[in-house]
Amino acid sequence: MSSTVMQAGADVAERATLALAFDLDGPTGDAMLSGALWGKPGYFSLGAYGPHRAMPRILDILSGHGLKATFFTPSWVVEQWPDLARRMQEEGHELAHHGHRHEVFFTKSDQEQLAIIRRSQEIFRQVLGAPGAGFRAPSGDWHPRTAQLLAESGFLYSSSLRNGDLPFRHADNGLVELPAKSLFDDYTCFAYHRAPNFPSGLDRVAHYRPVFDGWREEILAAAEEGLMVSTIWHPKVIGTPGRALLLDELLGTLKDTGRVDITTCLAVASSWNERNPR
Amino acid sequence: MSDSSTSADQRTTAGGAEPRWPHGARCAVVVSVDVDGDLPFLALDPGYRDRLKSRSVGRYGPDHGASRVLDVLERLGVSATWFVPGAIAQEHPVLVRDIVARGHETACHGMHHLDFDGLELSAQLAEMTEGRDALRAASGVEPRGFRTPSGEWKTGFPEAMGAEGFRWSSSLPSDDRPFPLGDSGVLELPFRYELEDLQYLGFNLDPPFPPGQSRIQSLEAVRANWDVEFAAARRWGTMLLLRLNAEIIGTPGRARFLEDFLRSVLDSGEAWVATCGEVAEHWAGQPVEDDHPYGMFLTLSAQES
Repeated sequence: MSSTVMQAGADVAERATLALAFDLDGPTGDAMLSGALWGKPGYFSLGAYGPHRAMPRILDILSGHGLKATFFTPSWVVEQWPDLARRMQEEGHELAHHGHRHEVFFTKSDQEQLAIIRRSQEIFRQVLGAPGAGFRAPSGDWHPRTAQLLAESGFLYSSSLRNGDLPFRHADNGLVELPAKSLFDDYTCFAYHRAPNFPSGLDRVAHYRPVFDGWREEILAAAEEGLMVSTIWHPKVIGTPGRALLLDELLGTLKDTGRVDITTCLAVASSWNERNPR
Repeated sequence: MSDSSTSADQRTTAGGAEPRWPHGARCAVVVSVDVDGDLPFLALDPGYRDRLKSRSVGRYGPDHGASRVLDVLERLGVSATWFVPGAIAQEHPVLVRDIVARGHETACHGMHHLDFDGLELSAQLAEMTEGRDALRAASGVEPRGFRTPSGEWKTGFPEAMGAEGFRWSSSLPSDDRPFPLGDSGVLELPFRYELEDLQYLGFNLDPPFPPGQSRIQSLEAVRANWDVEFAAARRWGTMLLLRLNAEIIGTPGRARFLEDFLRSVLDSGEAWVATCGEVAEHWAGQPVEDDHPYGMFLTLSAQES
């Protein structure tokens, strides 16, 4: 084991920390932002499948394993499905920020970004009685200023960047970063829709099981090195019946190894922050 | 989002109560087959009518694939729902009569398989009613179901479907069980991309489909995914609706693949294998989810546009 691992504060060598995270986008995103969504009942319903149909199934799976997860949830989704949001909170899961309607932060001014962050916090306070502590950048890139604005707005952590196998701190502003890799994004293998096309070339839905096997191997290899991973799973994608079945299997397998600590992003960020004071 | 005029026992919680299926079955399995022929290709550009090689890709469906799939279903004793555009029904009346004679359901799939995204409401309605009339003329049976050829319908379309006497639709890629299309009186039996042959196996050279010309998926992968989906349908009591295309699934090897998969479904003894019409009839007695996203869409789209 290298000294990097010890400095990074992994509790025990040969164990992985899995910051179990989902992006609960629902029907938010580009088509809602452009208004095109309001002429597309099928596309809307496919997005809404996440909060409406997949989430109760995923919550049951998590509770079956006694696991808590983080859901990066656009505040529009919190507003539209308040009972679901409160159920998630009551069952010990974390809700964290993901824009209001899944906005592209890269193109926004400081004022515009702050307006979204504040609006989301208001909705979190109204529906859940407490503000969010974490943020994951929606839609591709965030702005070079976003981390600073989050830190000034009282956020503890972000899970937006890709470059790292352990938590780290943004040097300028102290925000904790929990990097998550694109290979853990279920969109890359399973998301599919025609008109609008996703993926743009309409590549085939992957053979499910090898994808889940790959995720398992990546997490177990991280355990050998005492590292952290986080997932970018979307309930509307991973929560359809077949894939939910394999998600259930994967979480069971990881637990059974006894080598993976599975918890929320907030728990990982708080613990790392305490052990690595600024 | 809850409606206080609806008593608790009529309503289901978010996520829906587990569906109930006839005969104590754990899940429902529906086989649906689109017989589009060369219409989707011609709908892209009328100038394509002289491109006989490209047209022949689609024409394999009504010319060869459909009858092979009919033979498979007959060996299995399975009734399916066949979506036949009006222009195909006019061109292939013998096939349409054969589908009906062998105990299957026929349903409307437009007249010329036009993309709804490029049509105004009146043109969408004409595509539906002309297709319905041509199919009825060929089959002798009144179609009660409809599937959009491609694209999305305009506001008001489901209500018009209901007024025309349609009872169900299978057009939206968005759920794992039926749901009502607002107050139109039409029930939606959604399909899902991971249960489609087109998504895994469809291919055309020029114009390219898929646009990225990705490799055709292996039948091994499709079978493995469908096996997982069938296990999950049994676990959660959902509807597994296969959306197939005669020209894609009707080749000798793929027809055998389909037969093997459906044989495993039947052998499980846990599935209710039914047509779209039979599912719609059964579903009429199920509790309505008053918080379904489709109703939410109707409210929000009226506010936003």
